[in-house]
Amino acid sequence: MEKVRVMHYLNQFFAGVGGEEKGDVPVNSCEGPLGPGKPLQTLFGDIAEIVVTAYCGDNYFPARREDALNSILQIARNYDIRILVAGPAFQAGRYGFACIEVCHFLSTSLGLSCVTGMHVENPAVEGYKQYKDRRVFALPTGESTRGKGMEDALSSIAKFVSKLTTDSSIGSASEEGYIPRGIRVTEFVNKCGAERATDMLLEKLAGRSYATEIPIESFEAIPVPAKIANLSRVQLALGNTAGANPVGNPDRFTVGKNTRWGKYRIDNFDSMKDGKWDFIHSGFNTSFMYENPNYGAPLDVCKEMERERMFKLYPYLYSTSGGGGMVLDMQSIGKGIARDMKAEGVGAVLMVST
Amino acid sequence: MAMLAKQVGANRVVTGVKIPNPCGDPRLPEEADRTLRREIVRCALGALQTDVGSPTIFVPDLAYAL
Repeated sequence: MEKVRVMHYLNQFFAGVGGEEKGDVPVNSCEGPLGPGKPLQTLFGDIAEIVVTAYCGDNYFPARREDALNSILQIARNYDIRILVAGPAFQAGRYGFACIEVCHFLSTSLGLSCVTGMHVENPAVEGYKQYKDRRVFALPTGESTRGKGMEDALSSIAKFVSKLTTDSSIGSASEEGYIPRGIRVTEFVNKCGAERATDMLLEKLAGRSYATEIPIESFEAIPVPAKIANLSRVQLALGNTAGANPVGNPDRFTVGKNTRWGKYRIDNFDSMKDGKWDFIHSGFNTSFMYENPNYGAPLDVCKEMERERMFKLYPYLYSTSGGGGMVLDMQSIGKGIARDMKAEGVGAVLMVST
Repeated sequence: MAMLAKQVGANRVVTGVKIPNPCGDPRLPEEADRTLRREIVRCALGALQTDVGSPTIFVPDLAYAL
């Protein structure tokens, strides 16, 4: 049987081009597997062949999304691809986002089946669930490549691709192990609904485990705050998730999976350059912010606008570090900051995110 | 990453310049960079004063950006 033609999508790091300093590389490709594609190819055996690897920079993709998608689509067309594999991205938010976007675009443009891998807490999983694309499957991975992280992720991807090539019907998320997309599928079972509901109730009353047939989506929409009627009377607070901290990191933010937040006096400053800051964040190149910390919190122009009486600026900068943040921790940080803001009479927030 | 912010439910999202420098562009001369930063904040203030029904992306006039 002929090997199924696969394209592999990687970011600049896994393609071996470089780290953060190469985040702007545009879409490029090379024939055959690269980086983790090589052990993946070994796992594919005779079932599939990575005929081309496409890659681009983690910063290039979100900045030039349409161009990047069209370039990647063209590569897939040129190589007559049947399946796309993207990543695995683990917890990397930018890479995960690119993987989901590339998968969805190639699925809708060419009808390709697409497989990617990422941690369930990757922020890109939200977009994956919203797309509800029947041809795109995201497999859950560990948090990082550490230990057997990459090996296990590739093994999981290879098994799934093998299933795709040999068996056209893929079952539910719980059967096949991919991250659920929230697509509801009707199927026939032996017992009628009344019997199944009664069984479930009896299990629940006896304190035994049972599985709901209709899981409620855990993602809540955030209620939209009303617009500000008169900005000049509002106390506006600045915040950032770049991990801005007075030099020495007194609140001990961590570069990844941070659980803390802080607030720091800025009323005596006309610009962030008047203070000395550290940026505690592992997820992006912080050198530009060290050079000009106003990139992370636009204090210089805010002070100017405050002098023009456009608003009153709250005298502290709220700060946390979002790199590889776990969703529950970030929600807890957000709630803590919001409580403090409300107690302090803050009416509006400019939150700068990276 | 404005799209990602919108996907996870942030209601008023303003597009920044780039991930390592959301509020400016280090390739610009100082004054143009500051003008760009002011435009981004101006756009954000406009967003705060605009009714939205659901996650919405606001795009500053980045004519100054290279």
